[in-house]
Amino acid sequence: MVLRSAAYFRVLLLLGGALTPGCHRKSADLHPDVQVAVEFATHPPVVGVNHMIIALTDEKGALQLKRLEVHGTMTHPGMAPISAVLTETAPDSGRYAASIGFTMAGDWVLWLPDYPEKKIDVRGVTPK
Amino acid sequence: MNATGPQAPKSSARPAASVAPAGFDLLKVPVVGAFLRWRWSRMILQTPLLLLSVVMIVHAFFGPSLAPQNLATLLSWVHFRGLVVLVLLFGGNFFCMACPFMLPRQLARRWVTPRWNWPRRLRNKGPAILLFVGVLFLYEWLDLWADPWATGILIVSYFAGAFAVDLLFRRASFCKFVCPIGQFNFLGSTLSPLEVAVRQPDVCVGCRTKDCIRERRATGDGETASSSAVASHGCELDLFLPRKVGNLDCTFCLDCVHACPHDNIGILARPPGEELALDELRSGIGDLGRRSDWSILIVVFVFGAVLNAFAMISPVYALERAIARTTGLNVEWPILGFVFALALIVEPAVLLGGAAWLTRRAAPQAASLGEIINRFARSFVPLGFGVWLAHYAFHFLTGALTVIPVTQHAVYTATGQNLLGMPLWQLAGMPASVVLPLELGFLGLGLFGTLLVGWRIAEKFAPVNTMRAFAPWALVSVLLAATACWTLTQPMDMRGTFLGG
Repeated sequence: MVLRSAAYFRVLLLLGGALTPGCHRKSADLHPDVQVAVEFATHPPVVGVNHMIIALTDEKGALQLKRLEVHGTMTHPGMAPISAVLTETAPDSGRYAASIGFTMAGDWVLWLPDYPEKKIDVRGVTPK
Repeated sequence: MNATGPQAPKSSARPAASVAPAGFDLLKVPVVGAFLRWRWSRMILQTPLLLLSVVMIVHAFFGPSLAPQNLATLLSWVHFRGLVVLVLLFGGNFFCMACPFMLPRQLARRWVTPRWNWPRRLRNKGPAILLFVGVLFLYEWLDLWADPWATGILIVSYFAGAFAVDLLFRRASFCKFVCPIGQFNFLGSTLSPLEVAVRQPDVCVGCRTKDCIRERRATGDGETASSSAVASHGCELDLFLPRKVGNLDCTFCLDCVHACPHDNIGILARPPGEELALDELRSGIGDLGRRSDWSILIVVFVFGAVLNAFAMISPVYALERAIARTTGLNVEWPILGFVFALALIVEPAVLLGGAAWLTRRAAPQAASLGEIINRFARSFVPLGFGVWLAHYAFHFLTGALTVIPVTQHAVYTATGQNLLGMPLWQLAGMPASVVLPLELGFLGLGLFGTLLVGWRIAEKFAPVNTMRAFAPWALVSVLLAATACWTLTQPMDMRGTFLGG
C-alpha cells in the first residue's frame, strides 16, 4: 500500500510539474514583420463612438489590404464584443479608419482577425 | 469563536422538527430519482466536470493569453459562477454534489487512509473565512478575471488543497472547514427549494444503527472490521439526519441516502429561507446563535457581495486614487487592503454593532451585542445571495454564448482544423438592458427575504417590542439593498490598473 501511495504521489508531482509557470507561453507571432499602430481621435477613448486609425506596416512599408476588420472585447470574459470594418484613408497609405463603439468603460483589447496574435491594449476607456 | 463539534447520535434521539414538509421528493421522480439513488451517481456527475477542469487547466497554461478567448477564465468567472447561483436558487447544492475537486481524493482514498482528525482548534469556519476573503482579494488585486494563467494556478491549487487536506485528515474536512466555494454554496443553499432531509421522523426514532452518520465497513471472510473496505460512509460532514436542520454544511453528496437501511432520506421540497429563522440546535453545527464564526462568514458573504460588485464600477477607482493621494502609497495591494478592511470590517462593525445596540435599547435583554448580532446576522443571507445572484447572473446571461466561439477557437488551435466551424466572435448573450430588470428583481427578492427572516427572528427575540427590535435591522437591510441597487445600475468599468488608468 505504501508503494502504491508513493507512486500515486509521484504521478501527482509529475502532473503538477507539467503545469508549472514555466509552461506558460504566449501565442506565437505568425507575422513578426507586421507592425500595428492605433490612434484614437479622443484620448483617452470614451464610452460610445470613437474615431480610430490603424496603421499597418511591414518591412516593405505601408501594408495594403482589400478589407480590414477589427474586433474588440473587454479584458473581462463574457462581455459583449464589438467590431468595425475599416477603410483605407488614402490609397497606398496603409492607414485605415473606422468608428468603433465602446459599450462599457474599462480595459479593452482590440484584435485584427487577419493578424489574431497582434493584440492592441486600450486601457481605461472612460465613461462619457 | 465558539465552535461546536459534531453532535454524537444518541440512541434515544428525538427527531428535530423538520423544515421539510412531506411532499415533493426529487428521489421519487422517475429516472432522475433512480439515477441519484444509484451509488455511482455522484461519480458520474463529477467525471465530466473533472474532465472539463483538466481542459480548463490545459487551456489556462497553453491557450490564448486573452481572457475572453480562454476557457479557464471564461468558464470560471462567467459560466461556473452564474450557473452555481442559478442552480442554488432553483434547485439546491448540486454543484457540491458534482464537485470535481472531490473525485481525485475519493479515488486516492482507495489506497490511502487519512490518519488524523481535523485539529480541534480549527473546527470552525475560520480557515474557510480566511480563504474566502483571500480569494476575493486576489480576484481584485491580481485581476484574476483577466488572467488565464493565474486562474489556472488557482484551479490547480484548489485541486491540490482538497487532495492534500483530505488525504491527511479524516472525513470531509476540506468541505466542512476549508473550502470557500463550499461555504458560499452552504449559505446560498439556505435559499434553495430543495433539502436533503428525513422523510418520516418516526422511522428514525426506532433506528438503532445510525448508518446515516456512521461509517460502515464490509466484513468478509478473514477480514477485520477496521481493515475491510468501506461499505457506506454516512455523513462525512457530521450531520446526523434526524437532527439536521436545513442545508447548512450539506454537500448533497447523498452518502446518507445510500447508507440509510430504511430508505428514509429524500431530497424534499421546502420553503426557501425558512431554516434561517429557526433557532433550534443543528446537528454538526450546534446553536447558530452562539457561532460567531458563522456570523463572520455571513458578514463576508453579504458585505463581500456588495464589495465584489462595487469593484467593477468607476467610483472604486476614485476611492482608490483618493486613498493613494492621502497616504502617498503607489502600490495597489495595501490600498486594496484598506478598501477591504473598510468594507468587511469597519462597515459591518458600525452597521451591525449599531443595529444590535439599538435593538438592545429597544428590547432590553441580558444578551450582549455579540449575541444579538449572532442572532440577527443570518437574516442578511437572502440579501447577500440576492446581490451575488444579480451580479453573477448579469455576467452569465449577457455572456452565456461566448463559450461557443471560444470553444470553436480552442478546437481550431488544438487540431488546426475548423471542426466546429469558424469562431462566431459576435455571439454574446442577452442585452444588458434586458438583464437589468432581472438583477433588480433578484435584489428585491433578497431584500424581501431578509426583512421576512429578520422579522421572524425579532418576534422570538422580543415578543413584546418586536417592531422596535426589528426596525434597526430593517434599516440596515434597506441601506445595504440601496447601496447594491445603486452599484448595479452604475455603468460597468473593469480595469486592471487604477493608479495609471
